Amino acid sequence: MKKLPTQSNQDPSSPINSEVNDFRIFMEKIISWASIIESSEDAIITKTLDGIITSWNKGAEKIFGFSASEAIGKSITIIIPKDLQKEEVAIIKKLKRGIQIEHSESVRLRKDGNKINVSLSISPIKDSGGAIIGAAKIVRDITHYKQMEQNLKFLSEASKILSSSLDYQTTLNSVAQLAVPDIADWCAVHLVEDGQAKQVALTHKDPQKIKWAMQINKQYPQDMDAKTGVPNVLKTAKSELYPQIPDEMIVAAAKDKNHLKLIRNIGLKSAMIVPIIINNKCIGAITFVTTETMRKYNPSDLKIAEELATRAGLAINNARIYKETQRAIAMRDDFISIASHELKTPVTSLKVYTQVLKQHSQKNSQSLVAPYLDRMDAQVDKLTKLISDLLNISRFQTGKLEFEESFFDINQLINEVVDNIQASSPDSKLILQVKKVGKIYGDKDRVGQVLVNLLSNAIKYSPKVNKIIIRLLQESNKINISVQDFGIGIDKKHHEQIFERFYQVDNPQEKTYPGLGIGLYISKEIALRHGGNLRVKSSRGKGSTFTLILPKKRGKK
Amino acid sequence: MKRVLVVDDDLDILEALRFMLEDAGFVVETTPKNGSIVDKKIKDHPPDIILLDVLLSGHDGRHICKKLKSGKNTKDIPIIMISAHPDAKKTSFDAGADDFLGKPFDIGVLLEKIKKNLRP
Repeated sequence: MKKLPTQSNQDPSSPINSEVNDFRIFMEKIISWASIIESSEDAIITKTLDGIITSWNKGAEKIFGFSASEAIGKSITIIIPKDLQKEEVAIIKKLKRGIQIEHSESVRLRKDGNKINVSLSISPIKDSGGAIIGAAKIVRDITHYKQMEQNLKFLSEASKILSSSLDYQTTLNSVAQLAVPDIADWCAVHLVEDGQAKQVALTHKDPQKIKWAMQINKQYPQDMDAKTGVPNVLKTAKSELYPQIPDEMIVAAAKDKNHLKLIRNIGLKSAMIVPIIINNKCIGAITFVTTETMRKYNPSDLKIAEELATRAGLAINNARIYKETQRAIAMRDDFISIASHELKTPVTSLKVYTQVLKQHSQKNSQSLVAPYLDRMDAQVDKLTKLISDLLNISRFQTGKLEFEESFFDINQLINEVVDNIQASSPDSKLILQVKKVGKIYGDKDRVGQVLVNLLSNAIKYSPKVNKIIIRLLQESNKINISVQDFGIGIDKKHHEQIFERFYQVDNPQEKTYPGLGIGLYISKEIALRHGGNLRVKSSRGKGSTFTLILPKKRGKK
Repeated sequence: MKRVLVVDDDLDILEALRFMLEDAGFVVETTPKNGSIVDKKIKDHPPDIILLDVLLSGHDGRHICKKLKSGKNTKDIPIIMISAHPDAKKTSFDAGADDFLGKPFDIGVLLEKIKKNLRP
């Protein structure tokens, strides 16, 4: 608008000049308001109470696609989607009561039929008498903001899916399904397998369309040397973003006229392809394509897609590492199993010969040889135990140690074990102080294993005193089996650690007690598995008492 | 004199057991775990008791045991299964073994088990 002339004569105080002045100030205000309205990026619209548009700014033209001359005089419903017409009725109702509507999120329609996310602020327009005669509406296009919100939500959900399982074939498929239709109309995931790009997921909200797309793919398989698209992304490990897929690209990708027709039928609008990278190597790609929704991808969309690909890469890598680790453990365990079996074979022969010779030397009272054969036999037993420990550790670690529970006579077991050990350690004095308990429920062999372990330790760590007392008594529904020796004892500070794997009390000045250090670990595990425990009472130089506590009867699991 | 048939793939163990069992007064036959050779040995020199090795990964020891226990002429011969693998015990009894002994074993224990399982 042109600037108005200031005054007709130079005197500011003359009555006609002050009126002109007021008018001028007033008009300048109007002009500046008008320019604010015109320059606003938001749509500023006024309408009557019947919903007829009375003004339409540049922002409205831009956002809705209708020019001012096309919009003014029409009903506001031209920008309201059919399913939201009720909204307008509710708005008018509120306005008539003088209520202002602030930042209400909704969806509106463009001239080209596209839907957009908007934020509405509507206030009533009053006449000089205060009556409500219409409404002023400010509409902000929040499509971009909404898309970002959706992108982040998608990323968060997708991450949850990816980290939920090691089965990445399934999780990648779930992520691709999650992407449609909010983020894309089509989503595909490719992984490199044996140098080929294998499509592990292809999604669209219409399963028929997926079938149809797969048929096209079969008929016209992807050219792995293509300069653009998935093959190129796999080769270069760089993302590709097409806010609007150019037709030349489609023409170049088509293998023949029919193929071109099929591709054009899909109606490709926008695309982004991001590489999945592990250890600087591209192992796959995720593709997002829009068709029906006509959304155009922008650099911030691409960033989200790249972040998703990074997380997918991590998930896949984790799964692979886990699988390799499991395989390595299985190989190690197989090896240990075979090795210990192989080791036991020559040891078996060795023991037979040693014992036969021992028998002979005892019969012939050749005292020269007998003690040496005794020691040889004892060493063979130590060797046997080490090999068994080796096997036990690996089986225990992988949980392969099986438990077979039944009712068995604990008194009988104790007698058996003590008899066997007394027979092979004639120098030890094993004293039984046992009450009759009878049958208990548990794994007889494993409990026997614990008793053997405790007795062997008692003998091993009592170089000077050979008395060992074995006690058995029942306390309400628990039974206590204790093995007491009067040997070197264990300092209190070690009491917790001795039950740990491989722990051996370090006594450099004293004799070394060879072993793998797992006997007490396994014994305690067995006790715990029975619902019981293994405890120690001991102090240095005063011997030790190990007590195995077992429940008498166990409720079956 | 009682006859013992020892079935094991390891020649060293066969030799050691032959040595020990002959020393204890038994007549000893030995054979590797070949089904047809085992059958022939049993036919030619019926044993009073069989010591049979179990290899955990292969099933041949237990297979042989099952077969012998269901054979008309062999079902009454007591079988003691021996193995280096502790888990073999249960499956050995499942296959019909009369007794089980883990390797390496005490020769006294083996002799006792043989005495216990021999038919009078």
